[in-house]
Amino acid sequence: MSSFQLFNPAAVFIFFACVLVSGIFTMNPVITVISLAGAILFFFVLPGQKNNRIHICTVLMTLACMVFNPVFGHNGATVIAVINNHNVTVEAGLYGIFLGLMLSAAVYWFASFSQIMTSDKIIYILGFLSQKAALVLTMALRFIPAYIRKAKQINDSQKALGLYKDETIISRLKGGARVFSILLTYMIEKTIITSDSMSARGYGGGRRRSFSLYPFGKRDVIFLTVSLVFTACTVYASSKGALFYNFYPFADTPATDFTALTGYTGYGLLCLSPSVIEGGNRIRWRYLRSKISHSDIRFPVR
Amino acid sequence: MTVIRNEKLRKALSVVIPFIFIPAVVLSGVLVFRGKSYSYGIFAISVLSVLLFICGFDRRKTGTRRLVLISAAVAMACVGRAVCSFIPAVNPITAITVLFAVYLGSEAGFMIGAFSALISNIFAGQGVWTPFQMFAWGMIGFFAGVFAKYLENHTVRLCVYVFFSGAAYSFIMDVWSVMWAYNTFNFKFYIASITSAAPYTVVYAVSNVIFILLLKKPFSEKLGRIKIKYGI
Repeated sequence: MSSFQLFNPAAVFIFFACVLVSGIFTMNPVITVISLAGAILFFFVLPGQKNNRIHICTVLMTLACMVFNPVFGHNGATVIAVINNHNVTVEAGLYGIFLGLMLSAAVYWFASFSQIMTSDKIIYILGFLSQKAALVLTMALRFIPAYIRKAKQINDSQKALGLYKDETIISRLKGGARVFSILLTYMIEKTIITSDSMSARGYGGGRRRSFSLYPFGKRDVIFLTVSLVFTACTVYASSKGALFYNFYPFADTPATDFTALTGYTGYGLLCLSPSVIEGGNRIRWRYLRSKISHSDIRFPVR
Repeated sequence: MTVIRNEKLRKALSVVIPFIFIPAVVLSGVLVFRGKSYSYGIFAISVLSVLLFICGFDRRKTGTRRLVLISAAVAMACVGRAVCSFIPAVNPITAITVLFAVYLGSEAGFMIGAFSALISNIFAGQGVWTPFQMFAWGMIGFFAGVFAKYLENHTVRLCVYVFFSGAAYSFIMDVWSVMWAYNTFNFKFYIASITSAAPYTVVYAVSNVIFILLLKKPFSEKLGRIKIKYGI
């Protein structure tokens, strides 16, 4: 289990928003590389199922950006080839690589995001905005498996009645539409029953209160403060123009003055913090477990 | 989860948030992220307008039956997307959103479109594009509700609307990807991304029409019936 499961979802959400917004919109290659490194590190530190196709996807995406950008864009001063009267420039290629890395970083961050922010947490976040919307979301999530189950039943019964043919594409489409039509009837009638029973139990009768299992504790306050402070460093550097980077006509060397370094450090620490929390907790657990000697463990005697 | 009980404060907030808060967020962001000012601008506006719409949904009185029907429609659209996920570029979200929006109104249309994007992305993949998808599908549903008088009981007009909104969806997403990658609206890149996405766009627009032709009849019969029977 990830230690992020215990954090308040609002704090985790704000952290991800900070990382993504300040990482994507600063347009600085150093920031992008930091973001990618932090994202990959966190992706591997976070326990849980890993989808390894993501690596192929990001590599292909980076390569595609690297190839397509010089083909379609002809800005830049260093021409290396002329194809069909179009200049192919080094700068356009660099910008393509930069774009690909930025996209890859976003993909890795979102992979971790969807692993931590399960649907119940998204509903909790949405509840801040509108409780009605949160209710709609909850019920929709509950209806999805119910409809899939029902659709299967309808499909089977249609087949058993000999009405459902799947010989040609047209008959399959028609069969699908019939199953859908039956499902629609079921859904509408069920909706009316559900809503009537909700009203009978007093839904919408008074002021609504809600209950959630996510307290906002000390740990959330610290995590939130730390990430906001780090983000503020990056935003400060960016608003001073220290992180501004030009690809065209010549690619700049990244700025290394004090303000820019503040921005890089702040963003680096921001990207590193989830991995540190996750990894630190795991090391702590190992350490505590190692202190338990075997003689301390008493097996129940029967 | 807080509900503001003070009537005056709530009214003040409903003025402050759209007219002061959103421009402030956009402007300050544009000043901070100079290299990406335009892409930040459209990102912030689309996120905030979806949020604003959701907040407005809470203020208005919506009947319980309507509320449950909206969530059922969202579930239906997500199931449809999951079922069709083996064919690339084909999903019935536009068709189902439009059909429900025509019978339930523009606000419900926006909610159905936006939430279908949010929930179906839980299994189809969340990303930076989620707010744009929510916004695009929400707007398709919203305008279907606005033009409900012209679209109801008129299959040809409905097909035309769905065809163009499917194409418009692709074009909007392309505008976004160009703006996102290059910060300015570069027409050459836009044409390049449209032409590379052309097969998908055509398949998507045509599949929407097919969905409408398949689903129009059951929808108009059943939704028309419950509208009369239960008065939703």
